[in-house]
Amino acid sequence: MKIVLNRLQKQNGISVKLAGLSFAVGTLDFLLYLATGDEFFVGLGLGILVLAFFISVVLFLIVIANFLLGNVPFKEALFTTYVLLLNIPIAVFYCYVALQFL
Amino acid sequence: MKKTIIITAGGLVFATLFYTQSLGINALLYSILLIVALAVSRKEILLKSSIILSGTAMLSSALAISIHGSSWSMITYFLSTLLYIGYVASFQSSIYVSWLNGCYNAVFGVFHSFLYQLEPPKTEEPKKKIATGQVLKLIGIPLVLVVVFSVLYSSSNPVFHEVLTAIDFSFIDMLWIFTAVLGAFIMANIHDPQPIKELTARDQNYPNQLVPHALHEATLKSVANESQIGFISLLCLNALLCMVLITEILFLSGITDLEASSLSDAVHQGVNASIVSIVLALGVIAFIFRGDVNFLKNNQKLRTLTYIWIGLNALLVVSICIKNYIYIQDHGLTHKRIGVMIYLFLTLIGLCTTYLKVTHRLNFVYLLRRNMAIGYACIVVYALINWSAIITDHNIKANKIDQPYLESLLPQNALVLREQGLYDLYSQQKSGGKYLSDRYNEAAYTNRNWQEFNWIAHQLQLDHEDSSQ
Repeated sequence: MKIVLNRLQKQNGISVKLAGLSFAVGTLDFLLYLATGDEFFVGLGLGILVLAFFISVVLFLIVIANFLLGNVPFKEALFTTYVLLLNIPIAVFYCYVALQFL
Repeated sequence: MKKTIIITAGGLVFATLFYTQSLGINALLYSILLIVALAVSRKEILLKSSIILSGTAMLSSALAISIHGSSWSMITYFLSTLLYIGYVASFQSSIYVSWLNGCYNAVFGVFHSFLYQLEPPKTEEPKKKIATGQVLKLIGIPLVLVVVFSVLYSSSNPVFHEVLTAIDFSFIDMLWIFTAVLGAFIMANIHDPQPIKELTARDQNYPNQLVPHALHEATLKSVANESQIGFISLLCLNALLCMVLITEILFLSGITDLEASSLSDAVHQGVNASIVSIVLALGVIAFIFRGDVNFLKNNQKLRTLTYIWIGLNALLVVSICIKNYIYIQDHGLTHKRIGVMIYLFLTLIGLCTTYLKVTHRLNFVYLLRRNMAIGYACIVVYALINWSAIITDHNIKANKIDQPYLESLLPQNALVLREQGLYDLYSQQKSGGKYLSDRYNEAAYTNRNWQEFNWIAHQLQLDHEDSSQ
């Protein structure tokens, strides 16, 4: 699996890695908020969310453009866009849980 | 064909059961569908013990949701479903690897063949590229043209405008369709679960037994030194724990003379600190016996000291248990106090497995595997029982009524409160929850569709209908 992930087309590889990074950072922030209850982490989380959103939108468009131009196979493009979009329900879930404690 | 039917049925059933519905009997029905769907694709492993047990856990937690619907039953339901999928993917794996396999399949199941390159890599086919673009053009261009000309014709021809406005698509619920697509996607992910190969293979090849190494003189000396440090540390810790236990006995013998606030402090702080100390003790033992110390010929004294320490820690568990029991007798039951009891039970199990680890020269992975499996089994059994009802019944009978607390346990304790004639008073939620969303709303709770069936809500509804007739 690791080999396949390393063989992804450059922009797709970056997209998958950045999606993983924003998931990891977001989850860490969420867990720190749950553990400490410090509202600083809510602000930080919103900052991460906005930043990740803009980066993901740009990457999403690049992946789609690459696919439409025929540079990327269908399954690879589908996988990359899926991984990018997967952060949306996760972010919604984190926001929902965090709002319960505010 | 079989796959398409399963995925389509999965999507339709998912949307029918869950679209705008809260959890109730739908969880049970979906679990049955999941078991049937996985049985169709994996007949050969259906009767493996891990699959039967995880399937039973999933069904029992789904049943608990449709009977009392506590938060724990819902958490356990999701955990059990993921575990079941994980075990279908690889039935011989450890519990934590099965959870990971379950999560992997639930999220990335359809991409398994892509991630493991199970399909032969397709060579560049320029024809296909043209075909994709052609399909997009075939759909897109006529669609745009039809829309533009329809708008133009509609503004130029009033009869055509009326015809257009008369077309009513309101019966199509886009959100329902979205839910069905989501359900079909989930079913496509999990209908033929596959393990994360690297992780699963590594887990299955990892034994529970420690493997002895041939020790050189230098290594032997280092291990002997380690054993010596362990011996002295355990000796000191045993002496310390003996003193702590003596003071515990003195504390327990004079517990009746203590004021309520002192007892509360002693229990709250004492229990937490004691539990941490026991968990830490398990960690220390696991660390000392992590490797070659297990195979030293003259380590009998170290082992004896370890067994004594395990025994003394078990006594500490018993003393905490007595304190908690006295506290429950004085102040009534709560979820947290039951939680402490379960935590103590799990700690006792942890001490037993640590004893087995030392006796049979087992490794840390063994502790992880066994303790996690037992912990999960405890959660499943805990989630089956309606503790809120038990707490309410116990506290009312013992005359330890705390109205705000009992109100916060609604709706799970509604039937007990009704039996005791307190339901009408408590359901008004006069003391109020911390958050508005926490407050019990009888009308919202009892007004349910068949998918959301819940035994307590059903009983309240029947009662309501009887009283209105």
